[in-house]
Amino acid sequence: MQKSAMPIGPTTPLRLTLRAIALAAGLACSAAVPVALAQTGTQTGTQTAAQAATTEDTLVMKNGQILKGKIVSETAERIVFRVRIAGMETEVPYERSQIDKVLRGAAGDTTPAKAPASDPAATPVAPGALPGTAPGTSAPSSTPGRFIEGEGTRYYVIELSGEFGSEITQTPIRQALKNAKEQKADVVIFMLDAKWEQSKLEPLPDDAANFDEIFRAEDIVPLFVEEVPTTWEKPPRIVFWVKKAMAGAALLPLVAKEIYFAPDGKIGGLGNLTFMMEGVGDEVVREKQRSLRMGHAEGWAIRGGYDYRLIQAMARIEYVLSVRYKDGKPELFEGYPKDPGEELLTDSGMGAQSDTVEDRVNGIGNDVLTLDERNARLLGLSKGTVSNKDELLDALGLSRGAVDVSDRSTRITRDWKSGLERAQTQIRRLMRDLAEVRVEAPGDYDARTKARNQRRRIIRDIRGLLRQWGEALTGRWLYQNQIPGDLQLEYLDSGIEIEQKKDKKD
Amino acid sequence: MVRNLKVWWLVCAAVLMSVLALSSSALAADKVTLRNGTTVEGTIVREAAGVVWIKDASGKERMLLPSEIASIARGTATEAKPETKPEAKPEAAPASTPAATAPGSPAAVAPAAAAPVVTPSGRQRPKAAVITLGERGDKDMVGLFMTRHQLDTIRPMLEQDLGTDGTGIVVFRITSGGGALLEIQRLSDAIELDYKPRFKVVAWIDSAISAAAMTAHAIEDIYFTSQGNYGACTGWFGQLTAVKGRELVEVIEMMKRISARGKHDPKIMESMQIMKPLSVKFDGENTLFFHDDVSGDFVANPPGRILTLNAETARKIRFSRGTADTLEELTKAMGFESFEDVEWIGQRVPGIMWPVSRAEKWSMDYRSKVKRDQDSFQLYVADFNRYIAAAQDEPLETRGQFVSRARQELQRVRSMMRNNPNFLLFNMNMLEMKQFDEWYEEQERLLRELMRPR
Repeated sequence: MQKSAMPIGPTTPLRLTLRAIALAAGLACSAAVPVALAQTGTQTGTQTAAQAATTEDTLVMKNGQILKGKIVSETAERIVFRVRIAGMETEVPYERSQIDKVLRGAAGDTTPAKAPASDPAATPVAPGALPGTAPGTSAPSSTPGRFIEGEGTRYYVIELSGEFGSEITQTPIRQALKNAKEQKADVVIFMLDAKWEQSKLEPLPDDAANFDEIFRAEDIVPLFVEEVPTTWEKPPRIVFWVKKAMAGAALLPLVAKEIYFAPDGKIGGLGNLTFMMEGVGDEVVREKQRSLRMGHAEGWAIRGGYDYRLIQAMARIEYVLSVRYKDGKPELFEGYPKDPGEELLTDSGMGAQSDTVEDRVNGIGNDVLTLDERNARLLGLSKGTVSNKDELLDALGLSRGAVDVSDRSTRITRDWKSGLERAQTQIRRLMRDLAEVRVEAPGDYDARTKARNQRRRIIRDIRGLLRQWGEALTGRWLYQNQIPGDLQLEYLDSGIEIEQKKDKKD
Repeated sequence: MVRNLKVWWLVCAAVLMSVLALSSSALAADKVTLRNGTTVEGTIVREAAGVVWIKDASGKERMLLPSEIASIARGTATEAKPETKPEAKPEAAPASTPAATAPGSPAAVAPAAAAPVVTPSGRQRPKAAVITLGERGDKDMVGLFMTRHQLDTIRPMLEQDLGTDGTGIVVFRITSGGGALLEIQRLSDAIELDYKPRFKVVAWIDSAISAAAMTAHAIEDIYFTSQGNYGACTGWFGQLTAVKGRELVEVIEMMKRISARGKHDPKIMESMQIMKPLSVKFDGENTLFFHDDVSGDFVANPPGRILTLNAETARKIRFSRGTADTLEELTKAMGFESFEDVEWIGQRVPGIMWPVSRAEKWSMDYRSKVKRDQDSFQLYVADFNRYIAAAQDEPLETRGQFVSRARQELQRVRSMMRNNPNFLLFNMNMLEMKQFDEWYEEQERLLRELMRPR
């Protein structure tokens, strides 16, 4: 493991600024103040809601957040905004590049005057008026866009937990999305915590990997990027909150424009590409196999609006990627850091630079990139770090005034899991039954016929279950339980049919 | 005497062709500069919604999408365009483009989309259809699900729906992880020789890996989806064993010829086939040079790697003309001002991003049947054999039911081969339908024999 050429910490004024901005961004995301909750330091308890609304300033963020508070100061680059978080007032600087609109409060506003006119994010408006509205129009009711009115925003939460590919799979997600559509959700939030374990007793470490699970993810991601846009009249915002998204599950959040991380959140588990198929066949073909896999995974990252080189860093041990920050924005580059302020993300991972066992155990290796809350935030991939659903709703400006329309979401995912468990039990039982159906000698024609019919019924039932739950029955489970494939069962069934036709009454 | 007459007519025809070519060449004063830096000279014969149809000196007509065109210099050929007529909105022409209406003035003008639009044959806008080649869900293998047979079968439908005058646009939406090498040349020939003369052909890449990319390579106008990938064309067999020696050279040479069809630098495909680096040197907005080393401004493929392009790298090396995730975006990427400028034929189906035309519906059904057959072939054959075996054990009077079921299975196999003749090779190790018909007839004879009293 090669360390950064320079320490990661803020050693220069520029780095200090960047660190402060990054911290601020984190705070902003975890403390997005909903419209109704928003209070400024100047507001008194005797103010009515309407009065409050007209004296507050509003920042409409590009990610859809609505922040209510007071503008304390502003420059061409940023606005320092006073908000109340968990009952405490705090001042948070926001980059203007993150802000869509600035809506200023009514007369009596104590905030500094207009931002520089050249700044498009700070269009000057008459006091108490919104852009394009008559002076005096109350701010919240006239704010542009569907997220301005916090009260009206309908959000739908889908919890994706359990084993990726069986419990987290396309059918329940499709059902939940259908329900969200019926509920006319404006925002669909996925809370992703996929199991990362070898078995129930053996969790997998963060440096374990299974790149080829991305192909399983390709059964799921089109739901977000193709089905929703083509079947919804007004497609919702799709937000992912990530606790654990390893291997195939890593691809799911990457197609969403809005990702939030849990404090211990991780996206990774793709780092075995370099050594995939090692020792088999010719290197040029192995390289072809790696290349096409990269093409798939990179494509989905691009679809989500993320730099595809992050996927290279997550997957290829030999790939060296670093980051520098320009005007507060991360800029990736291939190779090692040379200048102060540049940070190494992944080294070549070969020879002396190979991660030590200690590095791996402690999750600090850098042969491949595993996105955690810090680097995901610094790299602009995560919009913030929040611990739970309530904090996420806060960050999204949905904790007050918005409507939870999650309706059957929990039931859908729960029913899927319990249904799957039942189906697995049933299949195992049916397989036993199938083996046990016998015609004891000297069985007559009727006994033989009865037994054959029974076997055919069992086969039909197994095939029905396999068809219904097939997407969730992993190859490993089928193998462990020695469940034959559909074709073999059909073959068996057709053999019994022929046997019956040939049989004659005694 | 007959032979002499034939020769005479051939000479006459040749002379006539030369005269026509010369006169055409004399009139051919229009010059369209493309965004890739090349120019096309000839006579503009039609224009609609920014699309330009230009006939070159050889008489070959070529359709140019607005996205391809950098500028148009019009010459003296106004009177040589009898089939064109002014569009309903002549005022849309910018006043600052005098060359657009000034015969003899070769000055470059704004892109054709802004020029006066003339509709061909009274048609208001080009017709277009999206045809899927391969799809997700294990229906993507080149040679099984993406075949020459598909292209041949749907072409007449497309001709009916889009016309054959070169005004129709066929968009091949490609989703395939590759497949059989043997199908590439056949698909390429269908695209080059049968489709291009009749339609403007566009590729829209969802995923084109290996043989799928090698097929799409015959197409000039390539657009990507954001998630699109294209490349990894190394030939292999068995346990990841590479195609080598003469066979490899043959494939590389084949792809050079196909690259020429698509007007792509052959170095691009080569770095997708063998571990050859590829970099690009940019020279101005429209010109770039490919190098098979890392000396260029942008390294698309480092040494020791096989190239697979994604939407961004494809755009960067200008292999892709644009990125589009929806049909609306594709229409605009193709240079049309609005979605309504193109008439996308077919019926809207929920969950499908484009209207489903007859040809597309056929393609979808075709793949579904191929999938069913592929999954069940072993069972067809096994059951056929089991019913024959059962029939052989039976007395003649009860044999009929088994023979009849065996025949059913046999017919399934035949239907499978008719639907997709490539199954002949993949499943029966046969090269042509005639062989299969003989085999089929032999099986039929066996079945008839079984029913004959001995």
